[in-house]
Amino acid sequence: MVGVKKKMVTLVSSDGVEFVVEKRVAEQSLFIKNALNEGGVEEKVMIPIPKVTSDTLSSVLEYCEKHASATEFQENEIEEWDKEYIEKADLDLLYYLLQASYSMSIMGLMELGAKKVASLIRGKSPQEIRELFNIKNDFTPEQEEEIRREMQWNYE
Amino acid sequence: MRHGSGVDRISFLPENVIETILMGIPLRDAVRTSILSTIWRYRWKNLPQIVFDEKSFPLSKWRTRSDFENKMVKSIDQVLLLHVGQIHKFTLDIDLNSLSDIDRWILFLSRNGIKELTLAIRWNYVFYKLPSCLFSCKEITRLELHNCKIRLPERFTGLSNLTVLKLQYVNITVENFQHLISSSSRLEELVLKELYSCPQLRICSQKLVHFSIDAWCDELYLESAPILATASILLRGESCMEAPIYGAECNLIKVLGRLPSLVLVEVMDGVPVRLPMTTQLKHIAIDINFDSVEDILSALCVFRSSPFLKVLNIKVFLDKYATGGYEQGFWKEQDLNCSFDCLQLMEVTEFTGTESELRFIECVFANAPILERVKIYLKANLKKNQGTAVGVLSELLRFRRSARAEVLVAG
Repeated sequence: MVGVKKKMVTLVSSDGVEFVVEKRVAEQSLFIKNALNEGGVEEKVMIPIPKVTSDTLSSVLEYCEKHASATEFQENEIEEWDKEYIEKADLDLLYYLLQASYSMSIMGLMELGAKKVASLIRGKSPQEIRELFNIKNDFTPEQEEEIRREMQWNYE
Repeated sequence: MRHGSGVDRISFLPENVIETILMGIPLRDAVRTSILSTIWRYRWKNLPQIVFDEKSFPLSKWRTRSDFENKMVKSIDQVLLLHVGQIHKFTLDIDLNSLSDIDRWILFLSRNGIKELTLAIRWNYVFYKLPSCLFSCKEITRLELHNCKIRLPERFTGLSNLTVLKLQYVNITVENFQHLISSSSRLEELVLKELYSCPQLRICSQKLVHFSIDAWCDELYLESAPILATASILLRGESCMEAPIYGAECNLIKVLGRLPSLVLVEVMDGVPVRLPMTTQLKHIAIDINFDSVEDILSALCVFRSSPFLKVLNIKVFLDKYATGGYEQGFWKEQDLNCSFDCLQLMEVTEFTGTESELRFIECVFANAPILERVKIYLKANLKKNQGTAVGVLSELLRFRRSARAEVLVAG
């Protein structure tokens, strides 16, 4: 709306970059919403976002922007958008998005990221999963043998 | 996908995230994560939710029925044995024949504080009789049963924490049903589908908020449900099938008007509804057969009793066995006396453009002074026939309506 001043908040990433965004966008994060409620109504609000770097935060805010402006009539469109959004994230970003969505309490983003990871794991052998995500196998051969026996039924 | 920095990109995510990931893959795959590394060793064993369905154990891989059956029973036994944490939610949605094994799992779960249980055991159309231990399971909050037989134990005192109950194709007696509902004092949502064994249903539930029914049932009494907010009602009485239109005494939803909090009702398949007094309904979703006078009259009756109606969803519904009665002059002779003073949004789906549908929309337009938005979705056959569609639409747009009402037509 023209003439109505939008309420803005400033978010500060862990590496010190400031992001000025509309309050309704920032409030997609429950963490920020609660912080704003506790802090009362101040003219200039600055909220530090610990452990989230500027690269990640900018991607998180892209998500929040889209979801704050979506109306209920656009359900299909937003689903499509989500799919493309998470598709273009590489494994590093996906990891940081999951960390950030958890620490900032953005349930939708957390579920979206988790779903993406699940789709990457599904149907893969343990060795393929280890290679994809750089998981180090730290079992001793004895331990590994024990687990294999325990899971025998699942391979038959 | 780009290979990252060589740093582990999954193992050290917060436990809640890991849990969400593991619940997003079939149980079979989740179990296998045990062997990834020491940090993964016990992760699946702490999952609060266990799901056995076709997806987690695809049947197609097994050569014979008994192979599959044996494998399935062994797997479920193993999972329950190896699991360490509490199982809050258990789903068994599979064709199984070994009823004594299912009894054993339910006994195990009911002793270990199960909160949400979904059972869909489809086997040869024989109902699975639930073991009585389930009905003494006080922690249970959500129960979804499909293809089961319920016989309450003699000393049944109610499932005091049950908030959601969904029954589909369940065999239960009228008395047991009533007892189950009225003694489950926290029930908020009740969904009934394909119930055949109860010709008469009485609902007394002080906390009930959502109610949905699609069942073979002659009479439904919503006797006492003071905070019921939404109801979706589809009754298919046998007597009604014989006398589909006029004077059928079945399918009466009685005393809707005594439900002071009801704001959304969905009525499908032309159920004659009797509304003795004014309702508080703000949202109505209704299927109307515009060839059936009975259907139209019953819809108008609901509308007349709902002066606060804000949102109206209509699905045009054609049933060649239930048509009849509609004649050209119908709408002229109707004393429409039906106002939509609060109506803001109307949606019509499966619109076929018949005379009767058009006259109805004309009537709503003429009597809805604050109507803001109308959405009309065309049925496929009307979309194909462009000539007719254009004719229908131009007539639609000519109707006198509130100045600010926006009309959208979509395919």
